[in-house]
Amino acid sequence: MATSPKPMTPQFDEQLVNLFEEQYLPLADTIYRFGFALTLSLDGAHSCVRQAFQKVSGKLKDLSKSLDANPKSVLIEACWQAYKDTKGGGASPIGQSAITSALKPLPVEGRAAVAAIDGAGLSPAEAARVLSWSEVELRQHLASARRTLLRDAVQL
Amino acid sequence: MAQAAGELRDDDVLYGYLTEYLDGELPAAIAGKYDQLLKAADRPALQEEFQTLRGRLQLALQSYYLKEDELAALASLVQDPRVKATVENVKIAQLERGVAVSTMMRRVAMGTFVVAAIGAAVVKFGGPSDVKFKPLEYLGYEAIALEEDSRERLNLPSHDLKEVRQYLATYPGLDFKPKMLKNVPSTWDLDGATVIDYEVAKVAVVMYERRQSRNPEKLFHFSFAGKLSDLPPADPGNMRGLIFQTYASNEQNVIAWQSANNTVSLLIGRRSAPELAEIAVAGAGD
Repeated sequence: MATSPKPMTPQFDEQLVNLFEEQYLPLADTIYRFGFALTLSLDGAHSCVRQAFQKVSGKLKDLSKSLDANPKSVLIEACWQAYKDTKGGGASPIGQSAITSALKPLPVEGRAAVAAIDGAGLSPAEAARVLSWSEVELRQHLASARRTLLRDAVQL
Repeated sequence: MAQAAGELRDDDVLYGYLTEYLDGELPAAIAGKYDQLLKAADRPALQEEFQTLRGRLQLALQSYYLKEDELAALASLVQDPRVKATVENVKIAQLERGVAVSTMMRRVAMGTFVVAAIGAAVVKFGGPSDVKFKPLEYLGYEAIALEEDSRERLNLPSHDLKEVRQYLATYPGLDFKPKMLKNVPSTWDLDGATVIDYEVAKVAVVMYERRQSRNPEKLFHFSFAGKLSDLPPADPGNMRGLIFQTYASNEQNVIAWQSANNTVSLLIGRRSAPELAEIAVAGAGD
């Protein structure tokens, strides 16, 4: 009796794909904004996001086993690492948008602290951990950035 | 986190802990100090200014977002777009199969319901009736109705024995031979005949009337196909060889006997059962 061949089934880890698509991909815009705050450049932001997601996609299996992994923290940490590894990706700040004008006077550490806490909503403790600073360093960068922004009374 | 405050300049504490201050989450260790710093800062609207700044910052950042193809590029890091398309096609195909199966099941269920409904309708309206002929009940009622209005109910009002006999003998569709009493006492006059069609049984009726009495009295001889044993059991009587069974209601008495091999006769009237049996014996034999 002739039997029909079984249909081809695609080979992929559905569980990891689902984890990536449901937990990490929805944060892409948040990471893009964080990357923009760091680089003040659209290309630089794209580069940061791409590298951050590449890094995360490579360790999805480990992340799936880690119960306390906060996707937003994981991605911001990866984005920050990518920025540091590439020195900003070589992209020059472009544009004269209000946000660019407001953030440009700040050092990158200040921009990172403000973007992570006041922009992305991380707690100061979590931000200190993912940016690899001590808490004192974080508070100093954060305070400095806020002070500058408030002093200059920037119009966003 | 409170430990860090001890290592920070007052100005860094003031600006570095603004979020916690606004959220009411300042560590207790610095809460008192923070109020003093806030007063000393000579910036009474600092909280409001910071809230406004943070809100505008978040709003301004929201104007930056990735396009669909850029998101798709990120998604492709874990799954080849062609594989993704294949997976989606497989899922769609499975869904379509599920829908097809459920549709078929619905149709089968609907068909079964329709067939069952038709079957029920046939059983109820078109199938053989399970109504059984109950001679005592039906014919007792008929006797009373004929007493009250015989003219309307008798198909053949006639005193002519020949005519009545011919009527019954030629009545179409009877599966028994209707009986008449041969020699009823002369005090009883033949008054006519009819055939009642109950669908489940046909019954021949011959009516007699005793006109000489002050109150005209009627007597009914019913005959139909069947066996005496079909009737409810009753103590058998024997009137000069005529074996009969007796039944009674408040108004009438009934005697029943096997008048032919497949014919049962009932004589119903207001006379006593023995008197009815006498009349039946006198008229038996036809």
